[in-house]
Amino acid sequence: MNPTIPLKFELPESGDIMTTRNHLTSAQIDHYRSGLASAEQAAHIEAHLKNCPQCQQELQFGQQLSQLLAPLPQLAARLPRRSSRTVRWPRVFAAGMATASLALAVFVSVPHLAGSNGAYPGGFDSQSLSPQVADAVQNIEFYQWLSNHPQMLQQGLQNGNPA
Amino acid sequence: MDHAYALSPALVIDTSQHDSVALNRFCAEVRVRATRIALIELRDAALAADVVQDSLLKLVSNYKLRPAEEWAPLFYSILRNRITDMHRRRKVEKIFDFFFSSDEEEDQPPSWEQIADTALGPEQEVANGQLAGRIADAISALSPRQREAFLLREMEGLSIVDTAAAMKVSEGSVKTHHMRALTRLRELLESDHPAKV
Repeated sequence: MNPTIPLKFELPESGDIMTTRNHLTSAQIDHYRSGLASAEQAAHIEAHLKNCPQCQQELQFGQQLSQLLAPLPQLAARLPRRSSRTVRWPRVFAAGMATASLALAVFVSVPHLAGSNGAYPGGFDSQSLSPQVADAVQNIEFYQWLSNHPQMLQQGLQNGNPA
Repeated sequence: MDHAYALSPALVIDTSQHDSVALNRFCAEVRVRATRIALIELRDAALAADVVQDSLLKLVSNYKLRPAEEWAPLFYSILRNRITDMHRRRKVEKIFDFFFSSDEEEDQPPSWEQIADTALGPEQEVANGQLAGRIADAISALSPRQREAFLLREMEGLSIVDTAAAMKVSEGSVKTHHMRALTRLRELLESDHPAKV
């Protein structure tokens, strides 16, 4: 509220404290129009609107804007038409080549990166295995034979010669 | 019993015909305004017409048996989803723009007002077009939620409850967005207030 305006001038006869200079402000009208006004405020505003064509006009602001949009389809007809999208083959080809060369580079470099001594990654490295496992790997055929001949294992144990 | 059997199919047909007439009328009425909404959102006449047609078809095929008062919120909910789909599709297209060319390499599409300025015709018609262009630009400058709340409440005249259903937000949110939209539009169109035009 503007302090230079006398208070009694700001208050209309109805005692509506929301109005200034006998007219509702656009903020009050929008507040009411959007449904945010309380029942009491709404009653005051409605009472004012009944006798005030200017404020009624202001209340129609949004609707008037909507009606004024009627020529929009005519404007839209002049919008630049979206041209059909055409493929830029050189760019597609270049991207394809770049992807292919990257894939090739990865394919070539991975074995070199994984095993520094050239061994197959994930393969057995006899130096890193425990002696028992290394022995088992080296003599796998014997142990397979032994598993098929438990009587020989029994015989060996009896002779005090485990495996 | 025979009498009852003879009557009931006739009644059913009668009711459905009545409904289809009402639905046709609803579609015809809503199409004009819905096209304006779609135009503001999409800025493409053909696409806007397609989206509206598509939404109306879905409404008729899926919801024609619903009560007439539910059609408007249902339709705008469908339209809203379609528009969102189109925006998403454009985003994806933008990602792949590197591989596609268009004749005009526009970085910024022209504003509605710029389009209106190029119009030729009777003076009053051009002036109306320019005013519509400025209003459309102002509405485009709102946030998406504010724009939706404004268009559904003011252009479509939907109730707060129906707008909330169409936008899938709370009623309080509709009121707030509507209020902010009105305030912002007044600021943007201060010199173009319809009461003073």
